[in-house]
Amino acid sequence: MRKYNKGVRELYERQTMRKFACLMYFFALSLFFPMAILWAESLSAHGPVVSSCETVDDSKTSGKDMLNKNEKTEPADSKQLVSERLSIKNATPEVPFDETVIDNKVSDKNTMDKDEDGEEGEEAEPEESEEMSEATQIKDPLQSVNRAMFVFNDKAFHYFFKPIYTGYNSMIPVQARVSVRNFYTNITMPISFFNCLFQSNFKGAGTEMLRFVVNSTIGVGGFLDPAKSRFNIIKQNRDFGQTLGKYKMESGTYLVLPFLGPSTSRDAIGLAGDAVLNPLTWVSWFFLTPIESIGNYMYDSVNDLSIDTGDTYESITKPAIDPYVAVQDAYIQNRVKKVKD
Amino acid sequence: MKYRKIISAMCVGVVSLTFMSTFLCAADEPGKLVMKTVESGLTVLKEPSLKGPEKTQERRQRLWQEISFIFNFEEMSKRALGQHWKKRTPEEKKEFVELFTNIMKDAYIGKTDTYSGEKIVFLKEKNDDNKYATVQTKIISNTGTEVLVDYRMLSNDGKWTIYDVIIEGVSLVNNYRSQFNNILMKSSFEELIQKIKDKKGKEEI
Repeated sequence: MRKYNKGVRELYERQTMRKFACLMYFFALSLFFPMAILWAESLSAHGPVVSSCETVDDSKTSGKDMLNKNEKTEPADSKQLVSERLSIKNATPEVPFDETVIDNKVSDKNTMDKDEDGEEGEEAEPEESEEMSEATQIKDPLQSVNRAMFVFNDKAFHYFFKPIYTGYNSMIPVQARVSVRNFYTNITMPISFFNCLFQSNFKGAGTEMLRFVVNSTIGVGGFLDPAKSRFNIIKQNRDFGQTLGKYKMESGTYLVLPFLGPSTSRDAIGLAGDAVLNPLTWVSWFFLTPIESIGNYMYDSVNDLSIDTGDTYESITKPAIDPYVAVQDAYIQNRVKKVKD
Repeated sequence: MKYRKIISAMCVGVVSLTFMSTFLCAADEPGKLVMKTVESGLTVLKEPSLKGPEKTQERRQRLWQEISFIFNFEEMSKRALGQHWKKRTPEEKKEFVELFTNIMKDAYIGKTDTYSGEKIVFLKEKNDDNKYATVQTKIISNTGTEVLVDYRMLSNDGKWTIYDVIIEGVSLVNNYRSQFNNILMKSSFEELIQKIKDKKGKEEI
């Protein structure tokens, strides 16, 4: 009888496991497909149609684009001119397929020409044009939605999260909060570990493993960080969006996610990927009720906000003339740097 | 005899060292200059007589005196406006530089009010044929968080000034450029100026 019971329970457990796995899978897919579609859309918005330049007019915010735009009153014409000039230079009669690259070249050429023309010169800064080409184009066709979401997040930050974390701040000393953060970072080690592997950064993966072992044992279950303070093993911050970027996926459309803040279609897929790699997700799926897991995530983020992310957010938005653009630009620049190194 | 030799050698050593050091200071490499300025800024922040919220204005003033000379605000505003800069009249340029300087001052001097023992460490400097340089530093907060801060510098007849600050890959000037461009695309320069002034007014209330 007992044996039978055990068998039934096992079967039952296996079935629930399977159910959860299926759910997880659908969850991932349901996130993946809309994002993929968005990404594809953003690619086509960029594609060989010249007029796209005008249609996404107010959504493009990268400096270079604007320069291009503002310089000329009749954009299509002069663009054609420049691209003609370009094609003569390159001696390629056929229309090039990859508009993105050409766009970059055109605008670079444009700025260069401008520099040569303006003979009051101001030391024809080679650096500046370099910087500009560094700044990737930001595609933001959903700007109206994003702006609304930004305002929502901003209000949520100021009227909900900030009071919470300032209270939390005054109650809990910094060291304790840092310990909590250490604990969460230690638990989410698989994210950076696997992403290091995906990026074929084997040294980084080894570092992460070592950190995990050291911090989980000597560091009392991750609450302390002796790996850094004693052995100087530094954390590798890798995420799935970065991995995708390393594999030459473009950042795609800029998105503002509710509560999670700025993102792009690529990084949103990255978030889903990280959620799969995150042990906390699995723990909350199997052992926690939804309320508990939301509480868990909220506690983690409030803790982070109280240490420094709250300050970071304010130091970007406060001095900004247009906070939405400031956050967007800061996010994109930061991501570009992260993908690069 | 022997002692005399040693003593004279030491004298020569000391004298040559002093000369050398003055020579090195005069050269004023970008990295050293930045770190020296940072040090003088930190001494102001650490000074016990200037601590406390009631001394805020005085402290900010002192700090501004100590560090403002190293920033090239004109170059910053020029780069922040990008191509729009050339189309402006000298008066407009002047006004804009003033406003931009004020933004920087309010934003980043204000940040120092919450200074609590953060350390600033020099990492390395990169010098491109004595014209442009990048100085990399790291801010270590007392919670152990590390923030990379790069200073882009430019030399005017051997005088190094900062024209851009890059915090964790985010260039300050680029950030403002995208904001200004975004505004200028839809509205005129006068409106931009008005917006900046409005912002300032809002902060003071």
